Amino acid sequence: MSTTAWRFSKDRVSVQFRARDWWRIAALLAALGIAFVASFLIGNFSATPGEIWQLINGSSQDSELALILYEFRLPRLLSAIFAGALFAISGVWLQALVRNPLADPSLVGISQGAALAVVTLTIFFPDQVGQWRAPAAFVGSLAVATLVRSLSHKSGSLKFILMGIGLAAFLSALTSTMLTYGKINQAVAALSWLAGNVQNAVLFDSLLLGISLLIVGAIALALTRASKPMALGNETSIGLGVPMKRIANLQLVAAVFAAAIATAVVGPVGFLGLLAPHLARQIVSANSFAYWLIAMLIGALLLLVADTIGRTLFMPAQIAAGLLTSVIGAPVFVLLLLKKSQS
Amino acid sequence: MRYLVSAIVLMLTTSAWGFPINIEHKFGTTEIPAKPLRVVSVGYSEQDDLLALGVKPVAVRDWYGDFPFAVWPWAQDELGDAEPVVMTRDGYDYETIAELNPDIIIGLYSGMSRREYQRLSRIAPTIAQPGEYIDYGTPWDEKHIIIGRALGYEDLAIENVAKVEARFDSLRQQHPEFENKVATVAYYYSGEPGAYSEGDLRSLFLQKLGFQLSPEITELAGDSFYASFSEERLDLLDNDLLIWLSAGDALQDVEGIALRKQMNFYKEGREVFAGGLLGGAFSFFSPLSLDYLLDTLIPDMVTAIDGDPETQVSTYQ
Repeated sequence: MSTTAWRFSKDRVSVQFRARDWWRIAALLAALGIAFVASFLIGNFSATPGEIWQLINGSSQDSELALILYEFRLPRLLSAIFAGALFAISGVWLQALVRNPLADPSLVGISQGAALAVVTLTIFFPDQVGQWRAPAAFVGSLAVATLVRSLSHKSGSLKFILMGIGLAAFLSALTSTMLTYGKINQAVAALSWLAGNVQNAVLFDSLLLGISLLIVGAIALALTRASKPMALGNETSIGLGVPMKRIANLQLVAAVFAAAIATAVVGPVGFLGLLAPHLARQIVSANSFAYWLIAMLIGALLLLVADTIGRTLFMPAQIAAGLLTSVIGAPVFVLLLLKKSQS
Repeated sequence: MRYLVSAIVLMLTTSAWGFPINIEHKFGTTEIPAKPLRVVSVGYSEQDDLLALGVKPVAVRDWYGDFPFAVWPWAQDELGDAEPVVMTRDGYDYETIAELNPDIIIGLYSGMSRREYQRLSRIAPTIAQPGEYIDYGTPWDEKHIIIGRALGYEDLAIENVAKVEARFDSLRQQHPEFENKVATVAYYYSGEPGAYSEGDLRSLFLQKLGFQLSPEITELAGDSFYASFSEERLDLLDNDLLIWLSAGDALQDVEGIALRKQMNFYKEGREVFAGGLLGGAFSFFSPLSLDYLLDTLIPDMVTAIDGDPETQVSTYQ
């Protein structure tokens, strides 16, 4: 079995790939590419693939089609892909951090923290929502993550999860209270964001998410060297010279950052951070860099497909992508667990 | 004199060559280059206003009620055989709207956000809610006239509003028994009773007929257009007239309230039940629905206000 290794910066960053991983990554990239093209062609604005092709290669000047494709569909697709990847990598890091496959940004309070911050903003400062939604979501997520970490850091991973679930429930209750007693027109505005959808994505959002993904990807590369020893356990890692505390902090901040920025743009989307790493583990071992890459690709694919289905299935009704990921994600997850317990 | 001057100014600005015009709203100013022919309504109740102006929209938004083409019975005649695309309550389907190639998008009662306004504006000139009122708080007459102005039918809009106002005035004179009595429009939803206060259209309806509102409810509501309270305070509704509003069967909604049978309004038969179609007419509050509302509700209000439990009101489902 041939392995390729890339080493940078005096071995501080080293990435190992197995030959067969390349095939899997390529296959997923191809799947993503096909889904992207298909999504680009499908929509309620009817245009034949021929017309779209003519527009892209410049032979037609249909400005209305251009508007729909480049200003509405493209940002939406790109945002779905980038946000899906961000949620997935956030799940990967959270699961590695707490060594528990049940960790997901929406289960440990991160999504709920972002949601509470955004709803508070919507109810009390409705005019500032457009500008401050992203920073508010980020601050909310970070605050919750820090709180959970500080409450449980000496007690191990299970307590982290339980603390997170408890806090998530508390924050959801606060959010619901605000929605009930806030002015009704603002509550309605908040509700549509809470469902989690990419509908109003503009090119700027895609750009923001894309850049965040690059940053997150760079962090992932930096962390790969430590991931193999860390899988062998805490004691072994320390013995092998892995800076555990620094790595753990970096993982947490990066996981929160990824989930927060994705939540800020598309709203709280559940289950991706749970499902994507799980599915990735069926394909590759969790100890390779390919695992992270594959998890991100799966996350991107899932959210893209969910959004495409949501916007075309019951035309002109629009089903939020976040709803679909929960509706599909929950049973799929249960199936995975059942299969695992049988084997 | 003021009215004469504004009437002349209006006539000058709304003649056939009145376009392009600018309409101001919460998110800025929209220029409408020419008289719009294809109109998309993204608001929940604008279809009534459009139909009252003789304009048949190419798309409407469904609020509730499951009526064909989201058009309620009082506006079906005006709809005729037009078949607008019906959009759902949640979220805007930008692609479907764009495909209809609209000349204008009207959304005064849509609660659209700035982001949604910007997205819609890329498709066609969009009229959002006026900035002076809260979302969904624009008075019915201003809403109708703004829509009329945007479509080049301002005169007709003003006329429609005037006709309804005249009807209110004449009914008020015909029924001196309403004058200065305290009336409330209330609802019972999800275990909580509530009532509309100053500033809500439903209270305005009562005031136009000569009624007064309950000062306690207005105080309780504060800035909001409604006040919800505990079942124990049902006495807040115990005035001269009580109209129960509901999207379904109004009588069934309130049958279960424990204290209701102890209240004077029950014992003296002062309740009126505005459910189903009547409830919808109240909520739409458009020139078309108001005609229907006045036709149907006034007789019951007369029966209820006499305070005689023997005279029965009908219930509407």
